[in-house]
Amino acid sequence: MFDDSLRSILSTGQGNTIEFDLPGPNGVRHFVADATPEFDENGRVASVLTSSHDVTDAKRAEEGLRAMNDELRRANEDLNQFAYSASHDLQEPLRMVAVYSQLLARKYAGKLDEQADEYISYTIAGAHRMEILVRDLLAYTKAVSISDLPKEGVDANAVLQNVIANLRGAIEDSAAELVYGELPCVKVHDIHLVQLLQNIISNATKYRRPERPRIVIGAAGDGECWRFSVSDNGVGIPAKYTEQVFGLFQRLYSAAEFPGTGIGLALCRRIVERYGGKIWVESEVGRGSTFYFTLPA
Amino acid sequence: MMHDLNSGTLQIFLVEDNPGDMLLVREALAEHGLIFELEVASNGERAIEYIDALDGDDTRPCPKIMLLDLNLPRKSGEEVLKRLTVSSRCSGVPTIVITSSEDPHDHQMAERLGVSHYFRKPTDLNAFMALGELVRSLLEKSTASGN
Repeated sequence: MFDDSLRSILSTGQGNTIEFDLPGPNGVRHFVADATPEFDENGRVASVLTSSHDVTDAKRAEEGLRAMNDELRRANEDLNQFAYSASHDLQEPLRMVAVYSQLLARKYAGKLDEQADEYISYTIAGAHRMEILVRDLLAYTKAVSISDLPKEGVDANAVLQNVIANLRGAIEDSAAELVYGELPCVKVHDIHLVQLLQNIISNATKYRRPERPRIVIGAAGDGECWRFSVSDNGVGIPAKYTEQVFGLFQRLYSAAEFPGTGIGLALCRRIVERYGGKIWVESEVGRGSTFYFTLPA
Repeated sequence: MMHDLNSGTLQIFLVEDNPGDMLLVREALAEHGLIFELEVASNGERAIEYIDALDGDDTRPCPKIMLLDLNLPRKSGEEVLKRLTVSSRCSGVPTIVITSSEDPHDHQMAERLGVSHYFRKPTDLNAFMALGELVRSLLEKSTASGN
């Protein structure tokens, strides 16, 4: 090994690095040796200076870190798979509870006593809420199941039109005014951009004040990214909660005030971070919020 | 032979392994005023045996419509559909797939195998009851075309 290294230095005049193992009293030790040529006045290699370092500990630490990373990645994949399967398999029994509680209400409402009617109505409401939770949880776990990066960019203008069509009911019910200009193309899967814009715009129609909602959607160049913004004139978010709202199952209001599952913004964060972007909100209570997120250009 | 929906009992073949869904199908058919006799197979193997038996006996009446779940024990709904397409007596029977599957491949497979309608099992009762209306309209269409 040393002969090869020396031969190479003599023929090329360039230094090199070799790694080798030596037996020690407590097992094999790993070394790295740097060989540097020294030249005479004619530019020929006169001698070679070699220095060796024992890198056993660093190497063991690196291997340990890699093993831990692999284990963490596997655990994460298992967890995602579990969450997906759990929410997927929950749908069938849930459908039975939902449909049969409705059938019970249809056939027996008013025929039992008042308390029985109340019990049935809570069963129906609970099943309905569970259905929305399971649906959102599935969307959340699905968001990370697409592991490849898109080859083509997606036109955010077309995606926004889809989102507006999907949210037609909520936009009409709230009489929201949507303001937007030309949007860019971004390198993300279109389903992810749909989920992002849909969740944020849907929130803007939901968390509104008595006045007519005004939602402004825009994008600006930000280095190698585009920074999207969605502003509303809604209820706003208290400063101490602007980070918390992006957590899974985090809600600021009771279901009676504003229904929801606390998954929407967590899903948005998960999508944005998948592409190496950031998401944040600037808000003033009683004035409105602006959500920002960055995506690769 | 022409068949008046309002006279006599309709033979309907249901392939479904979930007793809850069997009952819901009965409710949906009854809600839309259909008078029917439901032959039920609770797995794919029994469904194929039923089609075999019909093909082997001209005197047995064929069902007017078939309602088929896809995710079944023993033999899948796809295998039942494939058997149905080569049946000498039942290949023309209108078929509705009734399933929870959202998989687009299942939808495409059902279309490829000539299914009349793909009905996603809903969580809303009214939407489930609409199955009765769907059966009625398919039967009317099939009666009008003389099948």
